[in-house]
Amino acid sequence: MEKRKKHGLFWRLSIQTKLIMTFALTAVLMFVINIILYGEVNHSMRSLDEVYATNVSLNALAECLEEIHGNILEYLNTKSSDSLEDYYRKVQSYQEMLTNFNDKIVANKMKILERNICNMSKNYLVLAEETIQAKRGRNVERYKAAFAEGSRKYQYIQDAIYNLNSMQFQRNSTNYQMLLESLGYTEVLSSGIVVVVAVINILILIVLLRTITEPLRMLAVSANEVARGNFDITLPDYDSGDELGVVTRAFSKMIDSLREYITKLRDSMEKEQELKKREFRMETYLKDAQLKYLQAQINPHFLFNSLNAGAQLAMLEDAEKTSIFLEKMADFFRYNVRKAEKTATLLEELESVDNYVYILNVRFAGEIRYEKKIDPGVDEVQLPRMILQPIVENAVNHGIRDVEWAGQIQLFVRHISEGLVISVKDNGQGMTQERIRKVLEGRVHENEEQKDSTGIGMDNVINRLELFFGIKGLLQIYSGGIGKGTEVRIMIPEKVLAMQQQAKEAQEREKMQGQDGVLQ
Amino acid sequence: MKRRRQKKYAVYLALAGLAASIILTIAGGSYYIRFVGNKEWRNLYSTKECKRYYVMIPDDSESVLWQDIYKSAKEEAEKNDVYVELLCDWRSEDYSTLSYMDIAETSKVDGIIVKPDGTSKMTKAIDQANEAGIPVVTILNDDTASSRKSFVGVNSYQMGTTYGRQALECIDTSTKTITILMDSRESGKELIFKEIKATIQAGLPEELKDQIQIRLKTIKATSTFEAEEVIRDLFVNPEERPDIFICMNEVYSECACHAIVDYNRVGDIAIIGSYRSDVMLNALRKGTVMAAVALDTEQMGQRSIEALEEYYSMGYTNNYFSVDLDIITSENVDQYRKKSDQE
Repeated sequence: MEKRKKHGLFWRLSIQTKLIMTFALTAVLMFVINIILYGEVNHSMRSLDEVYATNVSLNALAECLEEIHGNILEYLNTKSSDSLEDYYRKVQSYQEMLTNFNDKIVANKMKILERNICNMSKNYLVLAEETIQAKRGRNVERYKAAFAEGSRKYQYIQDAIYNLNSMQFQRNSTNYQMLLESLGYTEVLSSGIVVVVAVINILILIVLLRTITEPLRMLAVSANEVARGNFDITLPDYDSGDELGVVTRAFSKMIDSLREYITKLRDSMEKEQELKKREFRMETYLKDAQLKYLQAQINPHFLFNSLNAGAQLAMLEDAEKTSIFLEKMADFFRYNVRKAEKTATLLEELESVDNYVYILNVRFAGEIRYEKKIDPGVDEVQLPRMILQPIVENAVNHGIRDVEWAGQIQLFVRHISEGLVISVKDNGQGMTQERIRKVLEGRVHENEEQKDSTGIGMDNVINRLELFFGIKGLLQIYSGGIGKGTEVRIMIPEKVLAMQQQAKEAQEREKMQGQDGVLQ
Repeated sequence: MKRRRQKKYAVYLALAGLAASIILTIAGGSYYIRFVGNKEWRNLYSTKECKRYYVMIPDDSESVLWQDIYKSAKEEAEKNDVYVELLCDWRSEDYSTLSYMDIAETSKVDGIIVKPDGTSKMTKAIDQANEAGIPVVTILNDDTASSRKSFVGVNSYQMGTTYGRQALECIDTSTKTITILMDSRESGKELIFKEIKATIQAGLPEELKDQIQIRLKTIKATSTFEAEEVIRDLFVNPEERPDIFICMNEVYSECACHAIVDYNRVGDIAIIGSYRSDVMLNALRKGTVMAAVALDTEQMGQRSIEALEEYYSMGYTNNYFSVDLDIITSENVDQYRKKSDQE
């Protein structure tokens, strides 16, 4: 890491700068290449130009020589001072031109020819001068001979110039050929370089872009991991100074703070859940306490014991009716005080109701007509203890007690497809709908009119039914109105019955197995 | 981390590759443009200075003989820091050897190597050059009357004997005519002819001495294409048609080679040619030509430069540099072919 920080100046730059630098570098390279290539071409062009320049100067030289020779001829013919003047001027310029010529022995066909031209020209000029002087001196023989020789030399020089010219032309052609070739080569070369540079540029870009996309991909993978709920991820090690480094660091920070936040959230949720659990448990305890409290209301130990004593006494005194009465009383209350058991069977409940009705009929000299109709096979249905008796008690106290017609109470237990229906029906005073609603809502307090009661009100019954079965609305009250009697109906759903049946069967199986175990 | 570092190296590597490829291509391009090209082209740009400048004046610049001589002379000259030029082929009009002598003299060269044409004008020109301080070396032909500094070549006696011996090899009982074809400018032509004749006659068996005619045919080199015509005439005309045909010149030999094939005379006429041009070597291999006498051109070129150099260093030089004569027959033709291929 340290090493990279020291070396990787490039890697600390932003993506933008990196990209710009890459493109700029390529552009500069292309530019340099082109400059160099065009430089080469220009170099060739210049050398070509130079040669053409020498061609031009050679032509000038040839022309000058021709004029000199023409001047001599003219002078010989006419002896005009103009031609002589021209002659001297041309000789002057010819000699000047010759100074540009090579006069050394160089191993170069053209240079050596230049030297030869130089030497021959000097020779020729000497002869020309000699011719002029001879003409001036009127030495006919001499100037004729000198002119003849000069003419020969003149021809040689012209030929030499011609040769040099053609050689240069040949060289130019070769040069031109070379130039064409080199131009073609340059074309191929520059195309090649462009391709190479483009390929390398693409490679650099690929590598560069991968350095950009790879951390992004890694970040995406990390983000997906985080999305799946895994906060214990190791982030890609990317500490570059560019935008990606910034993003990576920000992401890392975000994950850290998310992790912290989630931990806090989890803690508080756990605490809340714990609180809820405690609340629920308290509620349960409360309900239990309530149930126990309600059951505690009907706990007349003393009365039960006294009744037993009374029954025994009546037997001793042969008061059979009294004894039966007291026995029924004792049974009724014994049933009542079996408070440790919360549940009872329907049979037990019905017996308790029988006892209660018997007691009442003794008390009120058989005023109450009690009718009972029970479907078979329902004796073992489980329900809370002391449910039916308070209902019947209510039917007596609030229904038929003060009516002028003969009071009647009907108790039906029917097993229908929806479940078990327990119905307690009286032909008493009846109830208004408002009253029914109040009773069902538990807004009527029994102690208001608690006279001659076992102490268990309707609200108690309703609450205990709800607590026992865990279902609301099992108890319903129906009435046709004032004076039209009341029906209290308890509906135990079939699924509850089925569950009870299953539980019972399981218990029996266990019992059987236990017995088998003992037998074995 | 490792992968990132690898990527970083990849980028640097790519950059290095880029730079390297650019440098390579530019260097290659410059090299190509500046240095690759034919030798001739490079020669035109040479700026090497030499201490002396000689010219070689051939009588026939096109011939392989002269090209070979010049090549060897040039090599020798380069060794001695001298520039030697084959002075010929100026403009379209034909300058004579004399004109080139004049041009060389006017150009103030440092030495002239020339094959004299045997005329008195040439002798005069050589003398004139000598007077102007330019040493002249004659090759192939000598001009003993002139003030030339040295002669490089084969003397007429040696040449005559060699050709004569080769002719003897070809003589049988049916041989009646031997024609010797020679350039009219050949300086020692009479001497050579005499020598050939003498050699043949000396080697002939008695019974054939009267039967065989030895003729000399000279061709004027100045008239263009004449050689070819004369040779064809010899083949066509039954009276003149020789049994042994000695060609003392490269061009004549080649003409004879073609003519013998064209007139379907292979086997009837025995040709003894000159020089080892490719045409001759092929003909020798096929058996069209019986033998060829070849000058050692390498020695010739080399020694002509040596003679001039010796003159400049010592103030004088050998009067005569002898050059070997090779005899090529179908038996040893292959080794000459190899030599020729190598060159």
